[in-house]
Amino acid sequence: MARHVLRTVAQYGAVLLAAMCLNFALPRLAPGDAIDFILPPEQAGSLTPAQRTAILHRFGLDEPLPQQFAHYLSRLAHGDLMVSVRYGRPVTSLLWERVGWTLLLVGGSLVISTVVGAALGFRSAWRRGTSADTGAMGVMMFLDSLPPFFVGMLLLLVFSVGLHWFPSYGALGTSGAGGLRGVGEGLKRSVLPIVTLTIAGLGPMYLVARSALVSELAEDYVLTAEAKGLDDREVRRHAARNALLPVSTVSLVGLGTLVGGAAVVETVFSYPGLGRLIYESVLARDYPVIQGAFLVLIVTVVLANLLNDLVYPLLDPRVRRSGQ
Amino acid sequence: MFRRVVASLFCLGLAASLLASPSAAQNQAGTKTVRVAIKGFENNITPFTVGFGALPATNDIQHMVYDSLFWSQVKANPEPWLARSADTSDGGRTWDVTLRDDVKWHDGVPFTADDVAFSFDYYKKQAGSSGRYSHHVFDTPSYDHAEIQDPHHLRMFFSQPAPQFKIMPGGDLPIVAKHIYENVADPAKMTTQLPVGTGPFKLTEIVPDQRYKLVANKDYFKGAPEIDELDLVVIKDPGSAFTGLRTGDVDMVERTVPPELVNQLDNTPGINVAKSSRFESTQLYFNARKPPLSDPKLRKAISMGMDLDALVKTVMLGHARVGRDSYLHPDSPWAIPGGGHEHDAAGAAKMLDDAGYTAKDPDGVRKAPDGKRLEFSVLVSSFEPTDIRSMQLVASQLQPLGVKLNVETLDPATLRQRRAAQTGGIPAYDMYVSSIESHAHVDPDALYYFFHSPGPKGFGGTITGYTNPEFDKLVEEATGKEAAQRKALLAQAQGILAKEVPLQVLYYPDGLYAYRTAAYSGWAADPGHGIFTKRSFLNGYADLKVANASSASSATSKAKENGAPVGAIVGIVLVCAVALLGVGLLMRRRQGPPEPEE
Amino acid sequence: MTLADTDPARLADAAPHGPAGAPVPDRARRHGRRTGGTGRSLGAVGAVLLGICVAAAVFAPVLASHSPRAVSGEPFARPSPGHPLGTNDVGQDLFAQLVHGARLSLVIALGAALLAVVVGTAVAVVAGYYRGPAEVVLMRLVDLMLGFPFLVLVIVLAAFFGRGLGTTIAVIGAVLWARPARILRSQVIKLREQAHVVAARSMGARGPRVIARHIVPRIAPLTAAQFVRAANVAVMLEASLSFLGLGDPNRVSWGTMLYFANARSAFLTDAWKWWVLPPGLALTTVILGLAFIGTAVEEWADPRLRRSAARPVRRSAGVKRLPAVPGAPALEVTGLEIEYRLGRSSVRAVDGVDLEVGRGRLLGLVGESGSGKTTIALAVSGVLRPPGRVLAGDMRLGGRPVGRPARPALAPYRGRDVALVPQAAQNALNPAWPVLRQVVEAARLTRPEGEAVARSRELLERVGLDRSRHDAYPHELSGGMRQRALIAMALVNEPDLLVADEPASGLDVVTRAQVLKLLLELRDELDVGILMVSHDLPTVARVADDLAVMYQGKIVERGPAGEVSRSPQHPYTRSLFDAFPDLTGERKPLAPAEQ
Repeated sequence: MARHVLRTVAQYGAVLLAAMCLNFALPRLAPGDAIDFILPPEQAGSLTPAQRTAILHRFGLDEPLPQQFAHYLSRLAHGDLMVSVRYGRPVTSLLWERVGWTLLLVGGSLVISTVVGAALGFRSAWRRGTSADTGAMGVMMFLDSLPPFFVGMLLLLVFSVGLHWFPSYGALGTSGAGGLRGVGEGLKRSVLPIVTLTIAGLGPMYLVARSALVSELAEDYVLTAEAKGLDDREVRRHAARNALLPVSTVSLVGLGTLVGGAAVVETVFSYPGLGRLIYESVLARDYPVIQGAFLVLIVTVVLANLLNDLVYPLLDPRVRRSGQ
Repeated sequence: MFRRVVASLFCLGLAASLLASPSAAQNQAGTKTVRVAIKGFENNITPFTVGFGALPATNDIQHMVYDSLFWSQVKANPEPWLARSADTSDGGRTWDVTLRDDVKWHDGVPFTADDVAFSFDYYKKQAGSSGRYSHHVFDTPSYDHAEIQDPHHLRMFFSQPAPQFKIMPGGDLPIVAKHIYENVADPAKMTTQLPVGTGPFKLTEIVPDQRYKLVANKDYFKGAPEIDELDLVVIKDPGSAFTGLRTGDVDMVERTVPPELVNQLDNTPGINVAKSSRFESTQLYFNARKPPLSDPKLRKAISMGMDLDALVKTVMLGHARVGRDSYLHPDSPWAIPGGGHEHDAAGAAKMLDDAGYTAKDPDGVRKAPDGKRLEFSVLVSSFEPTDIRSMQLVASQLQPLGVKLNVETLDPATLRQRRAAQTGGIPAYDMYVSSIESHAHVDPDALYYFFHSPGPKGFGGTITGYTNPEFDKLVEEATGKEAAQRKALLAQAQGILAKEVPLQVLYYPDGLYAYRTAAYSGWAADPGHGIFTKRSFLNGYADLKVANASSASSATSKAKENGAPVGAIVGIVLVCAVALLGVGLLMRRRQGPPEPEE
Repeated sequence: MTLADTDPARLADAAPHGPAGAPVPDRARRHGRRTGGTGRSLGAVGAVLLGICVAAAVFAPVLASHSPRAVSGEPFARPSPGHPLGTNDVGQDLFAQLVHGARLSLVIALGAALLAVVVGTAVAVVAGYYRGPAEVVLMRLVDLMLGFPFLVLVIVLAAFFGRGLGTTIAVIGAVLWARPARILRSQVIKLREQAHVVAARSMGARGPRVIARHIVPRIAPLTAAQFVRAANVAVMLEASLSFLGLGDPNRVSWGTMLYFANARSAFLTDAWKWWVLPPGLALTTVILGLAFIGTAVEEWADPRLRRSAARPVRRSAGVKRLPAVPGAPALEVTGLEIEYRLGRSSVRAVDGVDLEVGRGRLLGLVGESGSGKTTIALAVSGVLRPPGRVLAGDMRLGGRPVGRPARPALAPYRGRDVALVPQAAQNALNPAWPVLRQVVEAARLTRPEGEAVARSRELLERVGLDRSRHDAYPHELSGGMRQRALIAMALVNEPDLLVADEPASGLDVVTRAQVLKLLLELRDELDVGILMVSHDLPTVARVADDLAVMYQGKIVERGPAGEVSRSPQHPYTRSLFDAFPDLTGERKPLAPAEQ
């Protein structure tokens, strides 16, 4: 067991390293120079070469690539993600400010879509073949087919512009961040984005839960449970306990993917999240931020996978004790 | 289990909405707050740290916190601000500046001549690290040093005549505090500290990428501002910003109202649209160093083939002024009187014929005498839909002339890279579209910067690569001249531009700004600054105040506004229902008779 | 679907030991209704939805009276007869753009999906067939790609590499290959170990040849399913890219329409009704169509998913539990008729069977697979699942009149008065819980919690499960121990009738004998009637008091065990005896019964 854990960790560590190299290379392959975004056009165009170099130097972009890479790695080891070209501020603090908001959106929607999706999926599986199941399946696949930005804009139109129930932008109210009121305001502003992301995440979760329970219900132990006189609810619990495994896998592994989906939703709701930051930084060729954000994402993804590999045995006794 | 889950989620939602119910829109009693949507985050808005994300408002945001000696750069004779007066006796080489004695920095330290001298020296020292302001101190005009006579008097020396000192840099350069910066080597790294200025507002809170909170400086030397707080909210997406205005989440949107929204917003009860140009312009740049575009006749013919009226009508829906061939904004103090756009398709064709562009390919595209097709690529930012549309239209206008344009949309960074890319020592692009704001139209030396052939400092010429010794002579001469003479020289220079067209202004947007009248109605239409500018919050500018006749607050428009979302709900529900019904029916039919319950 | 993985095959793979990946036992299959039901109808709906869009794309020039690029009206015009959906911000006809936009969406979807599937298949084959370090590297890469927000990746790649049609297709394809790779790889691994592939390899066939002849054709159906899934995601990605301003605004696509609609404030004016809804719904139509087709193709590719066994909603019937009649036999059934309905046809599985099991007696019900014996076992235990259906029959359980032995009628007796020991399959116990807990669950039906635990432990010990093994999970027990646990579970409530379905099959000879011996002992101790179902006549004949031989839904011979085994009357019975050799004898082929 311990060896298994070690090997898994080592494998993921290798992946992480490879990803970091890629992470360094990718932004630099692109056309477009960071300096062109630091300055407004009339000035970027009128810089002397010396000024250009001075500015590039400030961000460590004037060194030869191998040197940049060496610096990148050594800074990484020190937890220093360099300074944003666009904002002139440490990338770590930029990321830190946004990770929280994205976690609120992604975490919130992940929890809701997992719970609701699994509940509906299990229900559907239990009644599969009935019109309730067919209806739920149709609705879920339909929701799943709606582009998230489209959903977001319609929600904005209806609940913000039309009904004035929710504010239309941002994560914070204008009244300030502090206090209970600030928290309430923050929650209120997260409702529409979370709903949008939830609608996007609900379908997959539902389908996974449904198919998992359907296949569990065909297992022999369900027959045993029925035969020994348990009522429906208890029988369902037998099957659901085992159907939770794939649901948890999808939920954990989907974490990283949701952050990506959040980029679009954050754009629609002008939400200051990580996805939006990546999008803007890509457009601005803000290499340090792109690298830092990607690093956060890669680490998240790898951790989620690792967590899944390590949590799985806890959920499934067969894996736990056979010690494979 | 399902029911329990739904119930608990419902409770959670209810709790959240209860918690949030005291709406943010309500002001605390007695505090007058105005919430303004700005389009970008500008760090801590010091002159050394702004990121220009909020252009063109950046300068005005900064001048809420900082002051300059005069205000503002737009007028030929700016209003004394930190300075009481400035006089020169030798044509602008030395300036005697008298400062106000009733000014204090936000931290209570008195403002003195030391600060002014320090600021000029400091900007000069920061020359290497850009900043919008630095080049006005070390380039044109070129500041040399200052002598402090007493705390409120100083004499400034320039290495070349600076007759327009009061405008530039006097009307533009934010004066910073010596006691804050004297020990700072790289001010660009101070990105989070709250700034200390002398301006009408103090910046008290920064939430990165989200908001700024500015509080009125009650001791302001021009009187306390008329509002207590200014909340600047960063909303990057234009649609979201105007949605926010409509929902009442913000009171004013700093960016120009898009043409398609003007009528809609103006007809919305409680919202007013005011007109006050920021002297913005959108232009098409020709690469004047790349044959065949290096031929002024070809550029002029292309310009003549463009129907800019149609552009303004179609793309801007009439909410703009037609671009002038002479570049400068018609309201700029330096603009040539009269001036306009010469649209003459037949004349353009004749001009091309005369210049030897007679051969044509089978697809109707002309060829240069050396056989090159008159087919050009226009680089356009993919985030400027009006630019894209303008160029799509221009391309269709030029087609009959035998000139083909391929509109290439790029993201901003790639676009700038393509502009800088060179082949054979000259830029490789053909044309690109870009916009520019007031500073580039009202700076007395703007023409010098943009169109002078590469000078000793490497400035100029890089924007279009345009070269004309005659033009260069005129603008060089103008830099040292008093207003009247300068204007005459610049008029001649503009005449040359109109003939040779290194760039073609497409239009000057009208500068329409929308705000909620209930939140604040004292907005001032300050030319060159729009309405979001410090004069809007200060007493004594009655002549600038915009009329608040919120037009047509009729019942019909209100009904219309509410109609849309209800329609939305009904429509969406209907579509979903039909789709589901169809699916359900099909699936049921395939399933055969329902099974009896066993 | 951009957000998470919905593929059951992926899940099976993600959970190497997960139940979803376990081979489906025969029993499950027998109880499932194997029809194309949901999948086929979904596929039909999907084909219709997609067909509409394909038709729009093909006939675009006919459908639209304007060119999608021509300025054919005033800008921002409302819908009118000339422009059914109005015009956009430069006066181009929106309806023309809508129908022409279908072309681009479909081209990108097909192109990117093709690329993704080709790359994915290549990776799957390399990783799954050659394995080794290449597999480790490739699969970790796949893990990373799968978890990584591919929208973010697409944004980066699109911003960096441009907006051409080919580039867009390449970029989208480049982020979508990981999922097909993962799903196909697990299939390749399975195929690799199959007999004929192993044979081909051992005969010296080379890798590429084996792959081309044996692997690729077999994974083709799954590849097709993955192709549809990838196309589905590609459509969504293209739209999202365009919407974010990273598409080519000069293209006419739905994403571009939405981009301009958003950029030109359509959401703030009435224009969204004709400028935003149509392309948005068109996107939804294509995506939904592809999703439906994908589901259908997946079912077609993987028969496991076809089990759609309609499971009726069972409500507690409100039937009262009656007391047993002293001295009555444990089970009496007369005229039992059971049928399976498959689609529109039906099969009579049990055709007029009478049975009686006395208290303290063991009745062996013997017959070959498909003779209907297991159906009877399930029916009298009250757990017969649809599509099986009891048409007629009269049952008495310990003298209580049950009537037709349908589920509701047996509900109050299930587990209390009649108990089932299911086939000795791996999964007859819930893998997630220790055995004691599962026995206690049953014991609780008739006694309070504390007593239930004590009683369960007592019985587990009685069947030979040492106290130290009570908290073990099923997978930690041997097959024989699991079977003992199941017997304990069945007997914990001291039922009148114990139904044992092949209780000893799948066990080794020694264990089998022990389990049978245990059953006999318990029969005597508890005075329970046992109905033992088996295909192994000689073995059953040794332990049973009475025998009943089933053939094609009918009982062809019955009588005391000794008599029947000594002189079987029916030729089928004789062939059953002959087919199973003694441990010493020779195996003879099973002769078909001639009547």
